[in-house]
Amino acid sequence: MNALAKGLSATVALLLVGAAYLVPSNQSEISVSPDEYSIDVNPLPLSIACSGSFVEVAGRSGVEVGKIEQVDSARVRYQSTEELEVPSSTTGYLPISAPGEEQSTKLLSAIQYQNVDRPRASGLLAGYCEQPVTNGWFVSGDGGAGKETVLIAANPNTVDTQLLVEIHLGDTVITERFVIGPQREQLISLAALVGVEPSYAIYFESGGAGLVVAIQHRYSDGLNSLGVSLDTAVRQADTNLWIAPVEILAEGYESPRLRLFAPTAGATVLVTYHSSSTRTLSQQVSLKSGELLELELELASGTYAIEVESDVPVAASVLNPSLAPLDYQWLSPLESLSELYLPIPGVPTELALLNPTSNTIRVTGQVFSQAGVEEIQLQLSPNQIQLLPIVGNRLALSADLNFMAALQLKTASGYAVINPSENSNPGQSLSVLIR
Amino acid sequence: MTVTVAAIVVANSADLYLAETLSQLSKQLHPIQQVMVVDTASSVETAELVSSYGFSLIQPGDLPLGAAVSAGIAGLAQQPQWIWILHDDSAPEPNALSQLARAAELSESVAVVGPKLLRWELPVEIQQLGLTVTPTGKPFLLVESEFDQGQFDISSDTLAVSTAGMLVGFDVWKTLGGLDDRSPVLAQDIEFSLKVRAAGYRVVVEPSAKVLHAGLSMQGKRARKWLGGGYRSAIAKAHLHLATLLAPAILIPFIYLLLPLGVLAQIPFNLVSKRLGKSVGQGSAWLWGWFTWPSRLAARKRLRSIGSLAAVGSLVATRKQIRQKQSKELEFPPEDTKNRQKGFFASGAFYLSLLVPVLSIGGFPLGALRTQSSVIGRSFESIWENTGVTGVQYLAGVAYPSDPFNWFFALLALLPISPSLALNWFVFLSGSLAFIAAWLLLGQLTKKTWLRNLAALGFALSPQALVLQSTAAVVELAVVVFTPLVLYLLLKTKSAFNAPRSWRWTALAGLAGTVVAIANPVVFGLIFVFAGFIALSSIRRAPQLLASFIPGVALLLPWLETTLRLQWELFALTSSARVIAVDQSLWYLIGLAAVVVVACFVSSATLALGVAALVTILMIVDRLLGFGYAEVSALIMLAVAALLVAVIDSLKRQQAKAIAATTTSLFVGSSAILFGVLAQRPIQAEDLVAPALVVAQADAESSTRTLLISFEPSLTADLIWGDGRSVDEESVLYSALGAESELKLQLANLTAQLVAANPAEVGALLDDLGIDFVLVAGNSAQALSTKASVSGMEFFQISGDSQFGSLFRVTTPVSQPVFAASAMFRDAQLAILGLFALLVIPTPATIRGYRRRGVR
Repeated sequence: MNALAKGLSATVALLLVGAAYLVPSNQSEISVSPDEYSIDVNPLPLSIACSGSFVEVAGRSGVEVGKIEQVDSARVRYQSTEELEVPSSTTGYLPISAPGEEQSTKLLSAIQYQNVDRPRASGLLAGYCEQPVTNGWFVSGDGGAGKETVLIAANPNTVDTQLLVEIHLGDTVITERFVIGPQREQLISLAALVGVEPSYAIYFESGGAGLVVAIQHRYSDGLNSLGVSLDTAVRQADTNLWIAPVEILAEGYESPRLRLFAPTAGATVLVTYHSSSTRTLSQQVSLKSGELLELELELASGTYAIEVESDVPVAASVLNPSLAPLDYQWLSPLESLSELYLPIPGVPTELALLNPTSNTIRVTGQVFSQAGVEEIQLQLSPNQIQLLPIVGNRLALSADLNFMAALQLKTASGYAVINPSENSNPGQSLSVLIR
Repeated sequence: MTVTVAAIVVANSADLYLAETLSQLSKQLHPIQQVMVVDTASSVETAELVSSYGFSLIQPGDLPLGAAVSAGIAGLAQQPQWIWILHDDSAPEPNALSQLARAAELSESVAVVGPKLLRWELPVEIQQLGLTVTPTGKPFLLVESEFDQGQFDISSDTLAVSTAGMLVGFDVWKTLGGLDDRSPVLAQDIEFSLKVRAAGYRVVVEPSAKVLHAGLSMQGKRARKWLGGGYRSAIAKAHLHLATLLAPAILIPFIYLLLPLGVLAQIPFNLVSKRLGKSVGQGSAWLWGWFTWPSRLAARKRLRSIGSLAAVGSLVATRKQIRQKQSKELEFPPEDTKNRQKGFFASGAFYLSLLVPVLSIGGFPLGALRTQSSVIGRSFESIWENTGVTGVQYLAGVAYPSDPFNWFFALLALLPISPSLALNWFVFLSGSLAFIAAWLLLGQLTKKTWLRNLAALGFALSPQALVLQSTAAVVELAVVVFTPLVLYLLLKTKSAFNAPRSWRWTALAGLAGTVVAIANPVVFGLIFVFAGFIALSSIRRAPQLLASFIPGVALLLPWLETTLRLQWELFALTSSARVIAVDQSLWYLIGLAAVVVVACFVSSATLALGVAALVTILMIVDRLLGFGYAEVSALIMLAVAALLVAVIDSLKRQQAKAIAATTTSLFVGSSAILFGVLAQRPIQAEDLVAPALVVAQADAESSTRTLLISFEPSLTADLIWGDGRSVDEESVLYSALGAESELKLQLANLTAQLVAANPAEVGALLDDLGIDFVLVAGNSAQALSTKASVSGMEFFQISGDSQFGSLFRVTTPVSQPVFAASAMFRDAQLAILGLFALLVIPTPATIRGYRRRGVR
């Protein structure tokens, strides 16, 4: 074979090999989508529970070792389409139930609030009365001098259950189990479990039916109370979280602190601070698996919505201090809602509305009071947060896209944020995929 | 006294054989009164040829042998004392007739004298020296394929002689009526000799009379009608005919009644002896015998009416003679050991094959690999239920064919260990197996041991092959291991020394090719193309080469029928165990392109073009189908290895060889360390795909059903049969196409009720669906909430948590679902595999071929 023939052969062979790769590659989808069925099942009666009043550890004087109890009473407000008998205040946990097939906050929602004025604790405690849940994360565990964290767990069911509590301290996980009897409440001082650990994340899981779980903080400096906080919003770790309203209330005194926790794997997290009054800022941080990271937020005065984006699910909360009045509030991630029916506390309240989407949304609603109905209509541009003072008994909100909302309470004695979530049992239009 | 002889030559065509026969006749030392050529083909060429020798010619038309001889006799000008019958392919030596005539003169009782027939192409080898029959009546050659060293040169009585070169007394011929054309061709000479014997005459063979005989009929070179069908059929008919003539009368009804059984019983033996045509011949002889039995009995009557056959018994072949002949088949000429290619052990390949798994010692098999594709059924029975059947274990049973690759799982399950552990061993040893297969294949390209070893290692330790191993890509590894093996076996089929050996290679190629077929039909198709090309260069082996695809096609047929009907692309996706891999083929293509160019210039451009074409087709089909076959890159590496061998083998400068070898070694070493030693391997654990309690119940009750509820990414329900859904119980077709079923709505209802904690219809649905367990997977809030809901219902008993989720046992009695998959094709598929397995068994003929140097 002469050189020309060899060259020709080589060229043809090269063209063949090249052609093999240049053919566009199809990506065949070999997996058919499972059949989807929408099933309507009569849901269980909608049940929620308020966690109850302030938990005092070691008695009024703080020296009664082992004593832990709820003191005074918290005001309870609810709204429902059903006729219910609900006490206006409670000390222990308070279950509320309403039957109905169309379940949402319209059928039932409730809040609690309490001015705390004790020798070693003062401030405003407020929270949403949540549905029982089976598991969830709090990243707001605080310990050490002047910091006290109490886990409040109530079992509104008719059978006992086992509560698993995991305290995540970086590389270490402390596990404790508590049996909670039917329709009983367990007050757990976490100081006994974590010692002097300054900060930690808490995971809880019920071995049976759902529980109402909340976490209460008390901050003090010696004998001087600095504030209290009640966090009833149990959330799952997620890759996109919104925390709001973060209003700078203690400028020059103490900055808000954002706490991040990566429960499953190392995460790269982008934190963005949205505000109408200042430019949008962002920062990126990395977390190792199981790491609890705290960022001090040096933000100018204003009201912020903090967006947390991560490549793997993370949990987050913000501790927001207030100087006047002197108090603290742990802010948990908000839940995305399409409509919201909520009672309004009888203290100065602002409605915080947030647009977490990238589109402008129109929010409409009414505030019901003794005097009548006040209409709300406003537009929120993407990622915008707005605070509206409201006075009344209850409010109803809806929007053309999902929105987020919270109530910010400020009284002479303290500051608190109520973080609502949807109330419904599974049943209506349950989407089931069948493989 | 000199006997007068007339020669009758029965010619069927004017070719070189006839020319030589007539030429030799013209040189006979003994005078021939008249040479009469009977041209049954009536050709002008024959007439011209015969006239050139001055012989007589008649062209009576297309007559059978007996009638042709009779026509020749009728055309003789004078009546001779003897007639000498010759075929057109039987050339006598010049003194042949004189020696036959001398033997005829010795005794008046001698009526028939036969010559020593020698092979035409090899005249030192005896083709035939008298004929006889076995005790069952089968024609038997006392001397066959022996070198003629004069060791048989004793004139002696024999039962019969062939008509080729037969000298027969004219009167005897006329009295007995000559050859009976109503009898099978291959029985006519023996039948005539039996008549001679019955008439009181002798039949002798005269070894000093030599006739070269081509035996065109035996070699299938004559028209089939000459023999009345194929050779196997003709011999079987002759056997049946002679058995009818010779057997005691009382046995004849039994012979004919038991014919079918005899034919069927012979099939396995014929397969083992690689004489596939024999069964066909025996089958046709059976039918022929049943439809013509009156003619056989009439022939018997005619023979017996001539006289007694009592004296014949002593001339029938003895068992000792039969055994001696069989043992001679194992004889072989001494082989030359010089220049012989080193074997598997002598070349060091054995030790290298042991080295390969050492590199992946971290994956030493201790249990089941915990990957999506590596846990198969826990027993052979479990896997067999899903092999070659129509009916997959979803919902109430869906009428789809099971994944064809399940045959491979079933094969592994035959090992006396857990099937999943056996699968793990296959993965662990896949490197060694790939090395051995490549080593065998590359041995066809080079005789250099070091080069063969190096290239085989390059393939077995290529990055993609090692990645497939470390990810336990079972289906892909099967293709990687068996493709070079099938190519090697096909090449051996083509170059085999004899037909039996070729059939054995065919069977091995067929069985190995089956694995490729059920793992990757596209590669199987390309191997078919390859076989087609080598068949073109060796047409006589084309039947074997094509036959080697029968088992693979047989196992794929039901799959093909269904996929072509439903969604044709799925024909190429034969297993749910396939893995998804990152496409690295670009790097391998670049390597291939480089080697192809070099090969075109320094080695065989044809080989390079052929390899490039095959790889191109494979890549294009793969990309068009879009399934992303992970084994494609490894197969490209095989092509690179083959071309590298050709290139390095062609290099003349030692320095160039050393550079090429060193570069290849560095590549192999780096790949072995990076992708072998340092590879992360799957964890190993128990071969469970469901909680132990479910498995235990499924062992006792196969109708066990578990409702699996999961929430990732959304609420999904799945009805799991038995002891969990292992990979052999998954279905490509169900995954791709789904299926309609009333059960789906019921499952959705039950799932919704459980999630909503509403027990209203749960009891009835559990019973209707026959559900024994509910398994809630995951730890999401929804999952935990559902667990709480289920645990609060009266129908369930909490049965613990496991890696699979929280299990709840149904405490109320439920109906037992019944389903039986259809295995209508499986028996036929098994039969084909069985037939090929029988063909694999070595026989004397294949051993004889094996011991032939260079042509194994």
